[in-house]
Amino acid sequence: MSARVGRLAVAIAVAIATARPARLVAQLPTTVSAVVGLVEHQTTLAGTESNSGPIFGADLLIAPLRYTEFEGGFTYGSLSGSGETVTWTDIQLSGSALATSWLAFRLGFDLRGYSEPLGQQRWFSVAAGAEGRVPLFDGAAHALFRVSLLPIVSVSGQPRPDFSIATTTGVQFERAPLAGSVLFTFERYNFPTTNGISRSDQIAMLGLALGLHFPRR
Amino acid sequence: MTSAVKPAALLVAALLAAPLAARPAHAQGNTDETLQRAIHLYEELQVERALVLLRQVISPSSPFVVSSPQRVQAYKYLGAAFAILGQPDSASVYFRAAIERDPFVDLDAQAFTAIERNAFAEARRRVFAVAIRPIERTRIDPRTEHLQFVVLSTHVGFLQAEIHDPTGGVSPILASENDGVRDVAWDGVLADGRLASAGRYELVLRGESRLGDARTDSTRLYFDLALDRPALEDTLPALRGSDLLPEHYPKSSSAVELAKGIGVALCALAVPAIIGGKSLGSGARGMGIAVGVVGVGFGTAGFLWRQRHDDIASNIAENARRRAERASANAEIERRNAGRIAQTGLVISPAAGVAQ
Repeated sequence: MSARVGRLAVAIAVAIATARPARLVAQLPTTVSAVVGLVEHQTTLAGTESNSGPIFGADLLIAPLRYTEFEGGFTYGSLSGSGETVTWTDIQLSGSALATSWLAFRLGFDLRGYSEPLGQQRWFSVAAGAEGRVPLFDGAAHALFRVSLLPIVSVSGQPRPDFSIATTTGVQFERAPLAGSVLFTFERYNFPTTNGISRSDQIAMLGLALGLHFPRR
Repeated sequence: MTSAVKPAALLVAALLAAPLAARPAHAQGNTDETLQRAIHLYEELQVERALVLLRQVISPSSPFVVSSPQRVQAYKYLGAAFAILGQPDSASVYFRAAIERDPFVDLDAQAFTAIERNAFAEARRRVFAVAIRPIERTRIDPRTEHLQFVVLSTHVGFLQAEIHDPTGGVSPILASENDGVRDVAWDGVLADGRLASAGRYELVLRGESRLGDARTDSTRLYFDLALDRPALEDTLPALRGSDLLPEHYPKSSSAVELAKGIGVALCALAVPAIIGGKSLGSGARGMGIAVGVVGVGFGTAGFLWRQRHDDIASNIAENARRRAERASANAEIERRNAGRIAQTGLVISPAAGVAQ
């Protein structure tokens, strides 16, 4: 399984390195990044289950207007720990509107799958939140603080959670044509008690992204 | 009572003063009458009778007021009369007296004979004087016109004319041999190339005879010069500190950069503790620590970087834009002023002064 993940990572890196995003999106400010991360998914169901592992992926950010940004990301990896190895697949789409240079409001969609030999569980969520971007180095980097509530969460085979929240903290930098980030994302889901069993999930992800920004500023 | 007396007293005083006030005009009128009779007799070739009247005019015992032009006229006809009578020395004395009082005096070729004119010319050779004819109020456009001064030397000599401006500057406008009357033109431009500014000016004329005896003479003419042009605009003052944005971050901004990085670290560490379940694992905490370290690293780097880079680039650019805008506005004002200055006319009018 790890060989498969490694091949995928190489494929993503090659794809980004050879991509011509400037042509694809004309002259729109665009950032294409490769993502490497570490995910830990913990569940309290029958005791605490914990799976973790590396993930790899790519991220595309386009800013078609001065105060808007659209972002799409994909990560893939294998998590292992308490039981069977779980394949992580995650697709995220989001849009942000910048109210000021340091404050943005964000709406995002997340489709996530956990696959294991016994079956697959799909998660779908809608996140709405705010994001603060505090400039560092006169704007060459930003400290990022994001909080999102997830009003819509759908988990196959599970009731809708009572409470779900996601936060992201870290730093982003851009030194044209390079752009990158180190972000720590933390999600918490509390499901209603069913048959005397309560379930909570928390997902922590440390992501390192490094990419190129086009057109060069 | 007082008000009734006053008009009567004023009337009496006016009646008593009237003959006294009329006396100078009457006396001058008598001089003029006498002079005209003398000239008439002279033209009738009754020279001896004319001499009697002319002597009355110039006599110190004359009861009448004699103006300077009348005295010059009398001397001129006395000189002419003695020339006619074959007394050239006497003729020369009177002609010289006339010339010394008014170097511009001359004999009309239509009215005087060659003998008289020769005697007059001889007198001019014996007297060396320079003169400037008084000017009348006039306006010139210095781009296309000149102010004409009429100067004279009684005989051949070297003339130098200079304009003395109110600041003490001297602008030569003539240095030339001359004999008789000539025009001297001045375009209103001073020696330093600038158009003359408003003020009182002085035209100084110096002459040196070329007849071998090195006699010299000088005279001066005062005149007021005013600029006739639309009012000029003031340029805008230089931008003050309050008009500009700060171009450097305060010293405390380094600490702010560090605080931002620490803020990232605190959030990364606090979030799992606040949101995360107590029974859940410690992996998230490790990731938070990792991001916290990165945040502190960025903050520390920002702290050090800010200490070396305290320029506020956007403010510097904005200040430069404001300065350029102000400079552009001033350049435009100066351009408009230059256009108005180019249209400046010079108004020259005679001024009181002592001729020497």
